Amino acid sequence: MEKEHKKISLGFTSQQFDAGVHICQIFNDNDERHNAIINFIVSGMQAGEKTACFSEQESKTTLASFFAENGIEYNEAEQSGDFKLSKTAEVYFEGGEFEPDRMIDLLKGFYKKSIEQNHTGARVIGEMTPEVEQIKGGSRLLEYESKVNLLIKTCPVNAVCQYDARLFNGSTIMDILKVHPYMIIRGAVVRNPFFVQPEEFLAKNNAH
Amino acid sequence: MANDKLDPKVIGQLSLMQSVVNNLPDTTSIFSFVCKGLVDIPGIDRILVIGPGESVPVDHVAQMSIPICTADSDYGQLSLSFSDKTLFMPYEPYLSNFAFMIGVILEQRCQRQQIEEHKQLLEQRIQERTIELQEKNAEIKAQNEEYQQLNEELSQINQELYRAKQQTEESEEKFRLMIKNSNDTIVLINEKGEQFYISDAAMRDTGFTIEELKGPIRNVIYPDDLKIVLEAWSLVLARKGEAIRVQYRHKHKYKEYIWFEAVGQNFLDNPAIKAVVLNVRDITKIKETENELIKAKEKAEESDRLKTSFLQNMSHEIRTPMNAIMGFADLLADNFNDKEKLKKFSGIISKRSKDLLEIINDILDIAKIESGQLTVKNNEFKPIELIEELSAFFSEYQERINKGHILFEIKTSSELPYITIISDKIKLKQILINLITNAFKYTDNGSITIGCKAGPGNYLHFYVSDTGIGIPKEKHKLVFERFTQIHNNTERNVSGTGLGLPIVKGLIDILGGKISLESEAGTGSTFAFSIPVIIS
Repeated sequence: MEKEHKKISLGFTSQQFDAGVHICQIFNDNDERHNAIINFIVSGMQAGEKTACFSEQESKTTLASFFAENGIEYNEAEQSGDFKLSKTAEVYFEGGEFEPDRMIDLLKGFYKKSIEQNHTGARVIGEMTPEVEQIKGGSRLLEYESKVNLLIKTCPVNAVCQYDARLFNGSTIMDILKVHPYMIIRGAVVRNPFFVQPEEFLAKNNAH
Repeated sequence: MANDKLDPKVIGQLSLMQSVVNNLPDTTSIFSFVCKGLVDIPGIDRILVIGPGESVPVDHVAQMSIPICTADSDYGQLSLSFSDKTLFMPYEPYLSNFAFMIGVILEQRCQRQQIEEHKQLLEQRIQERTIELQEKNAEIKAQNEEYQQLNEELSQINQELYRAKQQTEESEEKFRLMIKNSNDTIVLINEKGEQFYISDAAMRDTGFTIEELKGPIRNVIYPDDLKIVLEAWSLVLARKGEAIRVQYRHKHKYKEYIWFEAVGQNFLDNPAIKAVVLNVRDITKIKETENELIKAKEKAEESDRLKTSFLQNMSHEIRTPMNAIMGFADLLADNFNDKEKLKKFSGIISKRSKDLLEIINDILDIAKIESGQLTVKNNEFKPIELIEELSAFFSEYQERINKGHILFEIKTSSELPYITIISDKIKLKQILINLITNAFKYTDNGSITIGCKAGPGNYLHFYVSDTGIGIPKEKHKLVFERFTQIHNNTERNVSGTGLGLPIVKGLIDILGGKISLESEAGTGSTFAFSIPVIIS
């Protein structure tokens, strides 16, 4: 499957991107986190994309009210499969283990299903929790993030990874930056100069 | 240093790090983030953050230190060792600038933290203060409720007091009006004898102001009555509650003394009054009536006495000539043949009859005057003619009564012969005859003068003056009273009813004139009278 070069809005600014973006958001307050979720999901659903949110903190009630403000009926969207809200742990740590390849397959399957269901695309926003550093397979977080970059070349799913700066140390944050080609800085999506191409990153990672 | 040697990616990384650093929660996180990011700068082998006062680890060879500070704060330094310093050097200014920016961010963060702490402190204080104020408010509210309740109670008390005051005022007003409109004066006197209240009626009765009346009573009470007033006051003080009555004379500002009757009652022990209450009434008119009644009674008694005396006198005066007439009438029969005696006796009878007639005429005249039966009968005549008639009559009369030695003079004004008047000549003549006869009666020596002149105005003035025995001043008023004889006729050996002068006054009154008397005992008398006439 070749990457499509369709222009999309990520909901943060008026800037248009090629479909298949992998973005990192380093936030330090809940409003910042929440606004990113709303903007990203609502713009995706308005564009006809299949969307999913993995969050420990977002509730159906809160999201439903924001959906309603933007003309989207939450239950309808949920029942039609246009949108799904899941807990982070349920998705990332299924079986009490973090398995990057399973996650990649999950994203791949999500994207394929969007195509099958005639969505214009697929987008996922997920908040990683510090639990990952303790859980089995958690050390493979960066590997997973880097593999997402490989995935979107063939399955141009749009993904935003949220990290709470208050819960991860600075060194980890710098590592996370290196596996995301884009960052959300002050509400705008910018290219990340620290980004290391997945081939290089994974090669170096394997060498270690 | 040439910019073309710089890798733009590194410059971008520095820039991005500044943005991310803003999101990192603390210095440790920032420094670990920064160190990991900067190590990718070309030429750097190792980079450490050395905190203020910390020493460089022994395993680290610091080839360059870049301070992380601002003008006010020092956050340590970036300690660098190089694999190729030459490669690094183009980035040195950017790294220095980056380190400074990190210092600024840390300082701002520190300031924000301080502000936050201050804010929290302030919020805490506000919260504490709010709680304190709420407690105070609750206290104030409770106090307010208490005050409100007190206020309501006070308001109720005030209303009751107001009603009581109104009732008292109404009562006082009624009392005041009663006192004001009372004909009697109400006086309140305290235990020191001070008159602390005198009602307005006192001003009406005495003419004095209330303040003038509040002075010592000896200034206003008639001196002779002061003793009984003080005695009454002593009784009032001694007999509490008993009404003590006293009558006395009180000075009036513009008139004579007036009579007051005061009724005093001692209420000094009565807490509602604490005064001696005097009810003072003006009884001047009652007293005057009493006096008039007394005078009238005395006058009636005197009149009765005079009438008795008069009747006795008349009886005597009538009996005397009557006896003579009867006696000589008897003698006429006994001496019928003796012509001389008959002549003499009949002469005496005739004379005594005339005397009797005079007495009867006098009695009739006074009776007519008293009953108002005499009327004025005016006619035109010359007063000089009247004078001449009198002169002729009394020249003869003087001889007849054997008083020819008395100088009888007539003095008239020069214009009198030319005057004609309209008046009642008969009454005028009777007046003059009475006066002149009287003068002869009481004059033994000297002279008798009559005068007449006209004017001023339409008046004719007469006088009859003698050098007789005179009349004491204190009896001047009596001479014109009916049934009064000033002199004892027996002593003077004169006869008369005592009606001469009352008849004179009665006639002058009828003619509209006035009579006066100037006389003293032993110096003679002058009767002068004037009558209004029409002079032509």
